[in-house]
Amino acid sequence: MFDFLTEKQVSEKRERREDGCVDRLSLLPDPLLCQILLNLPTKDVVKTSLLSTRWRSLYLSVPVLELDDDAFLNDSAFVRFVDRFIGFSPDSPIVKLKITSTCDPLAIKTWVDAVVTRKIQHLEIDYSRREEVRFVNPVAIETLIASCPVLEDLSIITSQEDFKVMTRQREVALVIRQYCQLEPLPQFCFMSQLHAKIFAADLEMLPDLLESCPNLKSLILELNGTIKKDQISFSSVPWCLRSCLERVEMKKPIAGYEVEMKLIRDIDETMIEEIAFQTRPNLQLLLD
Amino acid sequence: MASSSTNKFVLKSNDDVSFEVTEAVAREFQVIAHIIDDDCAKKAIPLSNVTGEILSKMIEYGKKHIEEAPVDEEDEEGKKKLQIWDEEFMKQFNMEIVFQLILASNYLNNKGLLDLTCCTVADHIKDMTPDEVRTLFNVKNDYTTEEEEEIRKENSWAFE
Repeated sequence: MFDFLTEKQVSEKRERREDGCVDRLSLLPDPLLCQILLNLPTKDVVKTSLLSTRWRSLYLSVPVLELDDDAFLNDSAFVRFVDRFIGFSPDSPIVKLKITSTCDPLAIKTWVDAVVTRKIQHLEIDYSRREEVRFVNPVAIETLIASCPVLEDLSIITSQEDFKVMTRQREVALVIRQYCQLEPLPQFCFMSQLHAKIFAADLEMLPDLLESCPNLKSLILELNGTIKKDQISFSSVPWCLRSCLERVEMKKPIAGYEVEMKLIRDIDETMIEEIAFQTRPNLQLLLD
Repeated sequence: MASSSTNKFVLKSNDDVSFEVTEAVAREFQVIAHIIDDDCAKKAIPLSNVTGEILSKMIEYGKKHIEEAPVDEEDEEGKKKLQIWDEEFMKQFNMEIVFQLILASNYLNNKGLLDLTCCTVADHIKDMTPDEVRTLFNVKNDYTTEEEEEIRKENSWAFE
């Protein structure tokens, strides 16, 4: 892109460096270097530690970690690295954590517990490659739900193929449901997108979940199982349906078209009854 | 009271070049917006850390982003157009200017330009070996061979 990339200029630069030419990059203050490194994949960020002593630990201060354990020789090397990254400066923010891993869920729980208190905005844990794993300890998710008011985007991805994993998905939903029964969900004021994969049997928690996302713009629902008639009903219309929800998408209906239409009609009817007199953006209903 | 489209302000670089800009353009830079809000912008606003050359480029960027601002969040075409303009805009600069723009947009607090310039530098680090990065940016390697070996071992996964 820049003309200094040409062979000739590179060699000129090299000569000038030997003459004591200024390294403007390393002269930038740490926050600006971190700002630059934010644009790079974690692997490239870590590689900068080899540039010079100035760069030795800088990669540990970048508030984003996006990592697949495929890059590592074994799980323990992966866990060691993430532990060190998260433990390096426990008071500084980590805005994004995206991990694709088959490692011990307990390790992941520790990381989630740690980052939820550090202004996390994007959290993505992808377990789908691991076949046998179960989220046996729901505490991590509970902590997450309770202490993450700045969370903007949450997805917990699990494989959908085999039954064991489906059970695990159900557990995730159950944690939220149990939580709803104990006390009201906190408000996720910054959450604008919700992608919920839930069992039809847990559908009754949907109104509560929507109630706690007052600024939701987009809702994607993936349902598993059969929806019983009249299973979902809104006692009052969740705020986001009245104000800002623009898009509802239904994915992978198992129970068939009719039941799905019923659900959409329920949401839609509730809206029309309650908000027909209000001016608000069009609600777009998409069918996959 | 004059509207923000007719209000004019004068920005003065550290080498005494003055630029008259509309209020909307001036407000693209957070620091200047604060000066305006504090009612301290009656005379020319001196910017001690920015040269005329850099300031003129920053104003060009600010103007473009005012004039061609996407209509709303949904305006994908508008966003795309501006993004293409941003890429072309950055192509005219050598690294020396890019670094000056980073410092100046940080100083005047324009997030868009700071992101854009930082991204430009990152593009030159991406997929490069540490040696190539050192060459491009004149970074002097002050590690001993042993230290270098230790760092490679510590995060061997990243260097394979």
